[in-house]
Amino acid sequence: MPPSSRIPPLLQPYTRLPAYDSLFLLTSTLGASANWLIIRFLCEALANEQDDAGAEREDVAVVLVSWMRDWDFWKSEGRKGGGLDLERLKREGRLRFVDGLSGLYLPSTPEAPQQSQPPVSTSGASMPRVAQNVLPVRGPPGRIPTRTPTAPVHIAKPASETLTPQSSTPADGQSPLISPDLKTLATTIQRAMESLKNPATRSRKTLLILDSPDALLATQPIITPSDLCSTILQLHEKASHVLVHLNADDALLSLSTPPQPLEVEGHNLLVKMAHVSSRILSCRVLDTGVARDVSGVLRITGGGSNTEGWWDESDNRSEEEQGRELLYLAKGDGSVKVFERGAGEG
Amino acid sequence: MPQPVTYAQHARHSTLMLSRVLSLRTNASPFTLVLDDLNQPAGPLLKEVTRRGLSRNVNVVVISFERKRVHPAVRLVPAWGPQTGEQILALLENAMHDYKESVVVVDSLYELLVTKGIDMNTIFQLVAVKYNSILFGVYHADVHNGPNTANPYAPQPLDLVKYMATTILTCQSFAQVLADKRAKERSIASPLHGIGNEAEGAVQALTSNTPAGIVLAAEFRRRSGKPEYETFFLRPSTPADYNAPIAGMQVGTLKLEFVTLLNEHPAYCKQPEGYGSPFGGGMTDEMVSTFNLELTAKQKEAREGVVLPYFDAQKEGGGEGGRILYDMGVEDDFDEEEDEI
Repeated sequence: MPPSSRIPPLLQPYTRLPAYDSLFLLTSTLGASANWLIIRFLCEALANEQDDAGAEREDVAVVLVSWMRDWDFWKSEGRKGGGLDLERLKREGRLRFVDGLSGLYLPSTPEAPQQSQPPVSTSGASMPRVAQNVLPVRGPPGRIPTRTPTAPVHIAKPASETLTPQSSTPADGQSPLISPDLKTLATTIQRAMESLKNPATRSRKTLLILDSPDALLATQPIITPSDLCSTILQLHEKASHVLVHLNADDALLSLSTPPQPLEVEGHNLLVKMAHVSSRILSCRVLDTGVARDVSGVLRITGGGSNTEGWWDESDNRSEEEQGRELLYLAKGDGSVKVFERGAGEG
Repeated sequence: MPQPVTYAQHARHSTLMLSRVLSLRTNASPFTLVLDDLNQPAGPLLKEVTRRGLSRNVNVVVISFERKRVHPAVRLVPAWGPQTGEQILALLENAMHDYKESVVVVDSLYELLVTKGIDMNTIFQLVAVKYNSILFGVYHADVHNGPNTANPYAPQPLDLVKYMATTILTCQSFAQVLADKRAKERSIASPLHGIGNEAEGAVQALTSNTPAGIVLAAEFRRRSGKPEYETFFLRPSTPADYNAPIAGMQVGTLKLEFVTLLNEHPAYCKQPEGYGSPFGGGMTDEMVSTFNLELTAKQKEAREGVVLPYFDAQKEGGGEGGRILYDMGVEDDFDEEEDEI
């Protein structure tokens, strides 16, 4: 099955990247993960080389930045849910992964000094097994992969890259973040984006996916939502499309009395990003409780700054700019069905 | 100023007030504060202001914290990056200096005041006093203020801008205003919309930002000190609302003011109980009821065909009408005595 057909037909108008520069916001809650949706966006952007039917589509390069998941997770999710060989795409220079998790927050493993050889040498065969040991998939029940209890939980790779972050960037398409500082973040991502531009002399569009940058607010209290927002907008100058994934759980956003700083900041970041973005896709659990045939509700709204800025003569806000709610069912094999209310398989 | 006597006068007066603010007339309102939230972003309003500004050949400058894309005729002062407050002010002055009349749109006053640390007085002095221009500031009402640790006795930025504004326009979603009104008519609590009020994880209400138009709750602060309050409906403008642009202009002049009072909108003033509308328009004479009182053609025909007993009795032999025709069933117990009466 080609990756483009992994996108359910009802979802296609919303995952399609518009002709103009855009910033989309993706939100999820604890019970309703949005990882499947990120994979669908990856499919949309990266599909055309694998799908020869869509040859006329534009060439889009992708930079994936993740603070909550490591490369192995995305690799296995991409293969399972999207039918994408992310490792190959990375070698072909269509994808860069910026690791905001391993280098910053995971403990460096004891065997790190042994890995003085270039990190390219990590064998692909051992990767899937490690992936299953990193973090359980957040998602509907039944998707939690079986853990192999014997293997210790460790990620060996990024520790060595931490030593030589700059040299490793072009070699394996992976740039770890070594400092939670926003300046480092911006330069690392910019370097990743430029490295994608280099091989092809023509300027191609870049999709920048930021997965859970709100983790920075919690881990680095010095970072304010305004700073983070402004960094994202600065990155948007270089990347034509930006997809930001934030968590929208009530516990993170609703204010207790007296309001706690993290709640205020989480709320402000989400609201600011929502005002800036031109489309909001929010996943949440079914309001009426758990159902076997529905994983959650996907609400699509127009966001704060509607599409073409607040200017264009053709004032045609088409159907997809209107608010809409769809149900989805994420199955254990990674496939996703999206349907209208009442149109499930019963 | 004397009070308007009739409703029509009041409506005309209020519409003119908003029209002057939107069309950026000199001295109408030097500092207009636009309060918006995710339920109704200020986008449609800013779009209209920009268009009217360009239609009157006013220099439109946007201090942008949120948007990269503006109309080519609009001067953009990017402020989302690492620019300091002084740099932004210098860029702003540079963008304004060669025009007699400008409008400065700030798409997030909070960022300008808090993040960039520009004093409200400074920018007001520069825009309204020095260049005799108009400041249009947007403030997202759903952004919370953290505690001001540096200066705990200073007023919150929102209070400050509310105090200084000469006009306050609060954006509301038309669909939500209608829902609130319906709830009020039935004396039930009005529904809550948007983040934190709906199901967990829903960021923006489905009813937000309807394409029909936006509702503006306006507070005009007159020079006399007297505030005036009114609620308006602003539909999105179409190219047909403007004349064809003359050479060198981006937008032609406005043909006819299309801002109306919310009370005059047919969908808002419609009263389902069947009372006539006080302002006319949109109401028909039909009674509104939950039953279908209409007759189909077949039913009408059957009704025409009914022969009333009075006419039937006038026929030869007294006719057959008027008698009670009833066949006794097994369970009927015929009472002779009762019939004798």
